Amino acid sequence: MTRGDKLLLILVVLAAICSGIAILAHRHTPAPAASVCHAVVSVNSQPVARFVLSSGRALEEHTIRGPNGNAVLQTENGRIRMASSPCRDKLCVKHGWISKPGESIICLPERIVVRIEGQGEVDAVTR
Amino acid sequence: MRLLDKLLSEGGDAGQHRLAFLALLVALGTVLYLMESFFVAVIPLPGAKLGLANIVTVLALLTFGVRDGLIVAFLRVLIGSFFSGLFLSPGFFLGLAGALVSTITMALLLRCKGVFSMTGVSVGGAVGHNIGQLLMASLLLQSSAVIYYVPVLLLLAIPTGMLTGYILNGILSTREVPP
Repeated sequence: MTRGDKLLLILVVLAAICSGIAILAHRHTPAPAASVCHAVVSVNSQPVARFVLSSGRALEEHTIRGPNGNAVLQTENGRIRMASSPCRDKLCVKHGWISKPGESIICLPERIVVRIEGQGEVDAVTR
Repeated sequence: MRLLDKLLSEGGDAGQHRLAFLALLVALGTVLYLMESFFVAVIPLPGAKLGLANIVTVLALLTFGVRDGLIVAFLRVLIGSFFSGLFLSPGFFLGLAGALVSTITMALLLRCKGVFSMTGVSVGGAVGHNIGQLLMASLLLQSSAVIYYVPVLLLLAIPTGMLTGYILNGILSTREVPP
């Protein structure tokens, strides 16, 4: 290996490390809050409610009528969760908070689907 | 290498000479390119390849120059895609962009005489190949998300480039390459 080789290798490693750090740093900066997300709630595939998810909002509760009783949704600071549901296994409640476009909470027994809509739902499209 | 020696040392028409040697390089490159695709399963990263076919490109660059190096690289990808059935698929365009960028990179590195050994040239070629691939991928996907892959492919270029450089040193030490 010549000195040029070693220099080139060091350059490549440095470039890799720098780009890695740049990407990590970029990832940790919060995304601009310009895009507003909506949570769309549907029961039996019929949209029944639509909530704006914006950051800095206080906790709000919303009651959704399902086939077996009322489910309670909570929205707070740009996120939404199923707080309680009359279903048996409570998978929807255990799912916790969701906040990113494309995420969803699904309660099969109650046929309730909460899905966040907004920009950036897909990473990429292949054709 | 005896066949190559014979082709290069024997007299005769220089044009035919060149044609025969280039055809041989294209054939070798195609075989290496296809052989490599069997190893892809071993490395679980898309786009990560050993880059053995780059050896042939360097030989073409050394013996004939940039233009013929590019021709060999292009034909290798084209014919290789006919055999693998991936002609005009996204993989074909990725390979083509990678091969062309890598050939140009290696030609530039070879031009700095005495600064880089075959190891440096190969690592440069591997980096060029990966960068070219990623540029084409971002173009095909219409997305800059592939940028997350840059550090991985840059680091991978070092071992694969060093391996091909080692093989190239072995090939070149068996005989002198005409300037």
